[in-house]
Amino acid sequence: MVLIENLVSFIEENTSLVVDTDLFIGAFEVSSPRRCVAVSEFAGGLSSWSGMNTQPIQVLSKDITYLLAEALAFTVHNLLDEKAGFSFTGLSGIFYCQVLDRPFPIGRDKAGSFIFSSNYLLRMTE
Amino acid sequence: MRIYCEFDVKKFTTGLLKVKQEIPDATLYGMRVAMENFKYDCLNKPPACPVDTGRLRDSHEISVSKSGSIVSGTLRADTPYAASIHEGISRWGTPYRYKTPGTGAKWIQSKALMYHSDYTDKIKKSVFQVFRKWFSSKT
Repeated sequence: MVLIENLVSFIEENTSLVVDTDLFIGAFEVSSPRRCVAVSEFAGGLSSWSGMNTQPIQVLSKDITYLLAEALAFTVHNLLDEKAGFSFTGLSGIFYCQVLDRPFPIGRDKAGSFIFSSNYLLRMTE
Repeated sequence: MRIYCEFDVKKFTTGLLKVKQEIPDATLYGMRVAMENFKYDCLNKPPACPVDTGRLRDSHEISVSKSGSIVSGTLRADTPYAASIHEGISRWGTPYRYKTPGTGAKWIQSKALMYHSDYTDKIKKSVFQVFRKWFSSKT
């Protein structure tokens, strides 16, 4: 499994979110529920000769009210917040999850759901 | 036998005072160069700033300022929805469709992650030039 898939499995394991139901890889699905989370990778990762690599990750969370969306965003954020080391299968190479941006609101979707975004930098050895 | 050696520190202390005077302006200049590079990278290097009408791209502005001993630089994209498009979400809350190849979400944050050491080097280089000016072997 690739990194993003393992990370999403880690979030599924530690929350009530279910992959492909209200937890998605890449982006919100067209028919996604009003309460859901999407996890994706974005540009900016670096590879070093020393074997220390980085990979930026974005978590998008949405829900029907501002406070619920914020709470959902923080459910995932609290799992990743400055976390040192992952014992979860497939994530053992990650030795630190640095917070780039705590959850912040970026607007509402067509259905009126509030959307929060948060960004992380995974520091890893593989 | 005795070897006598002498060094006049006046030139050194004078140089230090000159350096102290010139460092703020050199840092400000270095910051401007760094921010110009940052803006260029955001607009041109993949994932570059998305272009639809060109309004978002044209709205990118840099500014540098000094307050006390702090020199700061700002890159501003002053259009509605700039933040949400940067996060990959359109004004309708759906994933934003980037029409031009090479453009995409996180056109600013990705450059800060990828090239931050290049930008700080620009500032360092500008400051080192002041030292070089006053402490090169020719002075």
